Amino acid sequence: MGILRVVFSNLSNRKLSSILTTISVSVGVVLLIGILIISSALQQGAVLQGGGYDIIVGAKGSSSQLVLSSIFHYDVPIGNICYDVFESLARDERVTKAVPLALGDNYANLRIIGTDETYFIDIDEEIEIVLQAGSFYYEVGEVVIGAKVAEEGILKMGDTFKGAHGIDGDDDDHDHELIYKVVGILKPQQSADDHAIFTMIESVWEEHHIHSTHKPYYHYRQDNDHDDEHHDEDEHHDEHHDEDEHHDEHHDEDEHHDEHHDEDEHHDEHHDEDEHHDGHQHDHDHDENKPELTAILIRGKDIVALSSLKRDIEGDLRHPAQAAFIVVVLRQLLNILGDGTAVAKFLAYISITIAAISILISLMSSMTERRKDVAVMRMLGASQTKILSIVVLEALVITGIGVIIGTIGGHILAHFIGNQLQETAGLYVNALQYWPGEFTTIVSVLLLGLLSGIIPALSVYKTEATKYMYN
Amino acid sequence: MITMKNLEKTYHSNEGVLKVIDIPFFEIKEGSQIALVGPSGSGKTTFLNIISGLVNPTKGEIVVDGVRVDLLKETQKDEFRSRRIGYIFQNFNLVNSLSAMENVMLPMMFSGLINKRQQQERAKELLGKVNLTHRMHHKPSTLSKGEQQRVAIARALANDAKIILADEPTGNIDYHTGMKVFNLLMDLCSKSNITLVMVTHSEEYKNKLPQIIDIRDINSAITYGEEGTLWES
Repeated sequence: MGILRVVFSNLSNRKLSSILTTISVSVGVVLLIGILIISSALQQGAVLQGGGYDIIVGAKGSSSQLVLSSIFHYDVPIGNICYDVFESLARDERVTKAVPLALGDNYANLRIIGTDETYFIDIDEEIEIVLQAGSFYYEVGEVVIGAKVAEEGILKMGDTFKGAHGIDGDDDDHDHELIYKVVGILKPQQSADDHAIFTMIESVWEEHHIHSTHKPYYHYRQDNDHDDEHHDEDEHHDEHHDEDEHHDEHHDEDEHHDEHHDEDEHHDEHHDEDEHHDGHQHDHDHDENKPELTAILIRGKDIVALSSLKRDIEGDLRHPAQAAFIVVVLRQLLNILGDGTAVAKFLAYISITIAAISILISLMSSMTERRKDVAVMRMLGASQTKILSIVVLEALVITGIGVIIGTIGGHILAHFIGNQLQETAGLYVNALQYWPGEFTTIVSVLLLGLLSGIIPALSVYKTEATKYMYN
Repeated sequence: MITMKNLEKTYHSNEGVLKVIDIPFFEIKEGSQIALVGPSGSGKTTFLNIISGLVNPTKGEIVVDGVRVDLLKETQKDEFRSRRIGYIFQNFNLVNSLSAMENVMLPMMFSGLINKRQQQERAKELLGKVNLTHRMHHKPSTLSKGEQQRVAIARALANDAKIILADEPTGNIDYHTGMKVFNLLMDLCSKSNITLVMVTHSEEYKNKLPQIIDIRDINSAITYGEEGTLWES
């Protein structure tokens, strides 16, 4: 027989008190672990969801609303910005990636998001790496669906459906004419994207009778690179010019290039005219039929470039838009959330303190009846240290069991809250993994349990065996 | 086996100093079976507690089984008690949360002399000797008083104690059961050459023991009034 057998027999002798005390410890730990997981997951989720983008560009208004609607697919989008802004940003040297987003419709409360492949991958990656089934969308009306959309059986490969106007089912009853077809399913992204439907930007425009063509940002970059190559060539020739004084030849070449550029601009004008013309065919309101976007996600070269880019975007009077640093907005949002977390944590600390006090009370109240047992044990040769260990271990066993139940319960609680958060805010909470801070929490609670065991242990530590043996 | 020299025990209280033990010299030989008699308050229990090391004498020396008990440190006394002394009480003093077998295993656990597996075997063997094999998993509250005292006897023998100190072991049980318990205790002590010091008020048990010692004969701290009333010296 070991000392633990004595500890467990003492605890089972006071079943009700032991169970109630264990429950109170468990409840405290459930709250502590649950809150820890949720708050950590929210922070991590928010950072992940940011996707490594620096700036979000959208219509003027609340930056939080812009981030929530565009990144977390939550809340109503503020409005739209002119597609020209995207074209201009895609060409901008300070931008290393620009991803357009066009929102506005839904299917079964799931956002239909118009974007291109750059939303999912970088330029050197293949789109297949994000797909678990089917292919990417390359035609108007084709969609790929988030992993959860498929998993929950809302849509499956080959399904066709019509989108409804608005960001949720309540906005508008009327369906659009365009018939969407599911051609692919995304791998789980552990983000709000798992609960969304993605399609070409042109599909979203088509729904709103806008007929235009979108080109991903790297097309503009290739144009720029092409220009750069010419430019480099010019520089190279300039060097020759210095050396060989062949200035005139290069001047001609430059002029030739400028001519091409002018031609391009001319072509663009024609293109705009065409769009303008098409717009008139479908709608009499010219402005409403210009291609628009809800937001543009920007990755920039460096902070200096990003700061000047933000200034330029917000200073452009022709295309009113706001540019917000995603990290700053997320930090603001988390700070608001942080206040709630602090209150919840405070309540959890109170509950764990109450649990510790209840351990103390439970052990103290049992000490009177147990002094005789302690005296008998002393008479049988138990050392004072052994007596101290037995009482402290009792407190630790109660706390330990409470911590085990509480930790499992905390993860279960976080799992359910996480599911709710994913449904509502698109934030993924992996409640099954170990979260940093759990170990510290568990050790702290165990130490608190130990502390609450030491006081009654000390009170019986020096029990005079002869005083209680004959009672 | 047990030698006491100039042994004194005094208690300090608000009313002054109370001397309860004053034994100039006293000796108990190994394997003796002694009935310790005397009126209540005459220091019999203190006498037993000094032998076991639970109470420290104020003065003098006590040697038990070659060990100067009065010089031992607290932890050494614990070890001494667990390995050499078996205690039996009138009120049994079993740990209520433990089964009969676990109660018997308790001194073995504290002494660390026997490993866990052997502890169980030994406890079964001892409970067999006191005819309680069938009740070994029962808690004290479900045992009769006689059974509880038999568990206490088995517990006292757990570590092959050299001395058993029994403080009115039959005082709380009926005559027939008490006689059975007494005979069992005598038998076990005789077989294993265990020194037994048994406090008793019963004439019958007293007369069955080979040696009777009246505490008044050895403890000069006690004086008596006309009707045997106890007065402090």
